[in-house]
Amino acid sequence: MNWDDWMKENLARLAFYARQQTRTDSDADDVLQDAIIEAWKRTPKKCPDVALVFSYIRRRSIDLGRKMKVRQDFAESSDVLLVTIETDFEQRDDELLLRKSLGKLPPNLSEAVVLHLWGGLTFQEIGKMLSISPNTASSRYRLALERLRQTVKNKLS
Amino acid sequence: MKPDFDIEDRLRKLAPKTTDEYQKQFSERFERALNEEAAPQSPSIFSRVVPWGLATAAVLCLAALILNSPNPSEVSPAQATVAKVVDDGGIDDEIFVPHSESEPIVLGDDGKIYRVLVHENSTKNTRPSRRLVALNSF
Repeated sequence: MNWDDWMKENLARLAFYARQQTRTDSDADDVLQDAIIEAWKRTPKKCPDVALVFSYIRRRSIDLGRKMKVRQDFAESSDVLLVTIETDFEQRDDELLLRKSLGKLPPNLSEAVVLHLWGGLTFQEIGKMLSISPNTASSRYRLALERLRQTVKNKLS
Repeated sequence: MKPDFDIEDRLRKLAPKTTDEYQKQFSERFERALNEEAAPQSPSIFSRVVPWGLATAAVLCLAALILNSPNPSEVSPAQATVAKVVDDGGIDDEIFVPHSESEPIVLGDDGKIYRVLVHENSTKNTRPSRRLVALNSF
């Protein structure tokens, strides 16, 4: 896989995660760039391992947050440069509801959804990245889905 | 939205996507950064200056040491004594050495710097013997 293909396949989910973890879009882009380069340095002759890049994004975001004494829980501003699949109006409302609900979840739960569902990481990889067991990662993911399902159900009833 | 819909499936469909513009901007920015990383680093001013500074400092220290070493011509006869110098390099000469220094550094007739090793003799009336050792390590 060449760089262009790698970017096309991974940039969106990495960028979204970086925005989740940082305070501003520019911080997110800085963190993302540094993380990809750091991962590339480990294997200069091939495209970086995505799980490794996620891991570096997280670590660098924490470092940045410590420096700025700010840690953002969740960034809804991610839609500024990101677009979603075109849908009809009814589905659009559903999307908004789901997005907002996801944004209101505790950070560790929404992080599990982003990393597993959108990032494509296994629970093993997530566990290693977050220094938790794969079972805990899986539990967080399931709990996040359950809460989302409950929230949606309550809103609609 | 149906309450029993597959929330996992719906979330999957909401996976973030980048605009072409963002993709292009970031790719260009990243390419620049990557080229900078891959390019051989030119030595910084600091790395160029420090070795020269250290070399200069070493030369100055050596010069100061040589200049501050006791020079027989600067020692007044009242403060010095004449010692018979026998060295193992074949120099057999008399030089002035200050009383206060047990192992002074002197400039030999041949222009070399020597350290005078003093060996006190057991008998009082005998002058201490001195031996010149060339300071080759300088």
